[in-house]
Amino acid sequence: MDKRQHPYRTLPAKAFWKRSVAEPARAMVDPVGRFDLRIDAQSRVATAGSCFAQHIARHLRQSGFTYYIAEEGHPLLPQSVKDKHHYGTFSARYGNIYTARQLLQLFQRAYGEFRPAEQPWIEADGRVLDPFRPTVQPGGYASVAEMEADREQHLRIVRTMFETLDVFVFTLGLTECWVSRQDGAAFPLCPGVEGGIFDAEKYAFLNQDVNQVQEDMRAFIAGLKRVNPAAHVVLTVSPVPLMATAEPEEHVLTATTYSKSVLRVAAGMLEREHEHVHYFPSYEIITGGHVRGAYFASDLRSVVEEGVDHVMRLFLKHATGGTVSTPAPTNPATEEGAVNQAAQALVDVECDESALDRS
Amino acid sequence: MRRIFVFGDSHTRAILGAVAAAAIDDVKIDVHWMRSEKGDKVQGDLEYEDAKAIASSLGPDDLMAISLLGTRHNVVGLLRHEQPFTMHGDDGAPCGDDGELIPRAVMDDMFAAISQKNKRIAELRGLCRAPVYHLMTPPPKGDNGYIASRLVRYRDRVVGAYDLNPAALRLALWQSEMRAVQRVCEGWDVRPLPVDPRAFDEHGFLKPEYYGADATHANKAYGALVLEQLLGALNAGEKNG
Repeated sequence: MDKRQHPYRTLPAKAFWKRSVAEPARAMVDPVGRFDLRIDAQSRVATAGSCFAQHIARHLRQSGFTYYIAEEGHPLLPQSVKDKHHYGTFSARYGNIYTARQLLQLFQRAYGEFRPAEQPWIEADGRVLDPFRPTVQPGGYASVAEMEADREQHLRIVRTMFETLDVFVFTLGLTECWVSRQDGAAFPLCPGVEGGIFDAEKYAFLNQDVNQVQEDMRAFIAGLKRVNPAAHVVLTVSPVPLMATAEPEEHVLTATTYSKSVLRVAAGMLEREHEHVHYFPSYEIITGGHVRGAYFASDLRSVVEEGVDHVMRLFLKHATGGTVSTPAPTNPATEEGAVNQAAQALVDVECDESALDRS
Repeated sequence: MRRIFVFGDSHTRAILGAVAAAAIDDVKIDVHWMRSEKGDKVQGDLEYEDAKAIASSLGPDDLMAISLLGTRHNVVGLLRHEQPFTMHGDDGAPCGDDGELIPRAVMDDMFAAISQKNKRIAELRGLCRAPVYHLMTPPPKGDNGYIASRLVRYRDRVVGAYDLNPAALRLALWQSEMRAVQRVCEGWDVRPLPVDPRAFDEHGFLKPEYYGADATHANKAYGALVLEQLLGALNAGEKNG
């Protein structure tokens, strides 16, 4: 190479905005950078994370890949009942895991390294809820004993899941969470929103910064490595904006930018630190300028199916080294210009966060 | 003359026996087992279409009682599943020796999903001008030895005593199904008729004096309890005009 040539002369097309973002049709934009992970049909791919992670689970299942469900529910149960009670929504029945803190504590709880002091939530009608999975079982539990037995069974399965998966796909959703003042136990939802009773003396707001997210994720990654040395981790950031922010005096839009930025930076740095950790750009695919907002529904929050398809098409393409390659749609609902929200298909996911604003 | 029409599955035999013994002459009581064919085996004595015609003929002063739901707890739980499971009973205690825990709310929804598939109950309810009740099935027998002595095969399985689920689990399953049936029936505007409290022993099982001669059914004495309930319901309707 001529040493007088500046480096930009030899960069591939994907390094240039005009060629790889502005000019192609939106469905053709492929912002995946380095992605060394390879899976095949037998690879056990487990998922966890925020609402967006449910799309990943669904598509893996539909695509003929081994979406690893460790907590399937008993074979007696019809699929409709399994679906209602979240057997299979994720790889185990942990419900939405929005934050790095929650994920780390799930791991720690599964291995007996952390035993939260929070007592089961007993609702006015006698239902018992698991504070760390308050919405996973409609109708709640019949007794504290039943809740504790199911939780013990669930955590045992979570251990099995971590120890036997090949790939763990974690969708980072939020930095904001509510934690116990007593021992820092992180809840998926603010107590009082979907069960429990809010008490400012018991619960504190935490908005994780990039260092905290990194520390939690490093600890989780190290723990997973310890129990499953061959496991790979895929990190992705949910493109779904915050439903609400509890950050004092903050606007939900700027709070969203903060959260997503923190998560994106943390994910990028974790990828650089660990060979077996891979970043997948779901966030960029859905929110990038090339889309012009078309991948959000009219609430500007829910991701439409066309966007999910784009994410999963690229995921499978890159994760299989190109052996699975579904063509991009040639006539997406709107190519440029104003977004026709009414034409967009929307696939509902179970989003605990929606409980924060029922207006 | 006012009428009571009872229509359903094999559990109606206990009521038929009671009716025959009761000699009631001021109410016409018809008890029928829905006819069905399984291979070359025919059971029951009244076709469903004929039951519909009878239901349609009843007036607001009559009463219809259906017994088509409430037997799945035996199908799923009389015998140990190849993948054992357990539940927590109404008292909150675990029952079943081992196996995967199925939470009560999940099991209730399973029975509800199965019950919802039976379209005949809503159809009969729609045809009938009389109050319509659904009979809750008898609680299970608590004596596994009794059951095992009367079972050689159950639904194509050869049965040994060790094949039976623990009594506590069988009871929890029955309780779950009854909750589900109640929920589903109420949705159809069908009134659940609960088991007479006199039929339960102190643990919630069927009292031995009401045992039928097989693994799952109750006897004529139990049928007499149900008959008493039905006559009471009929008379209560009369009082309410």
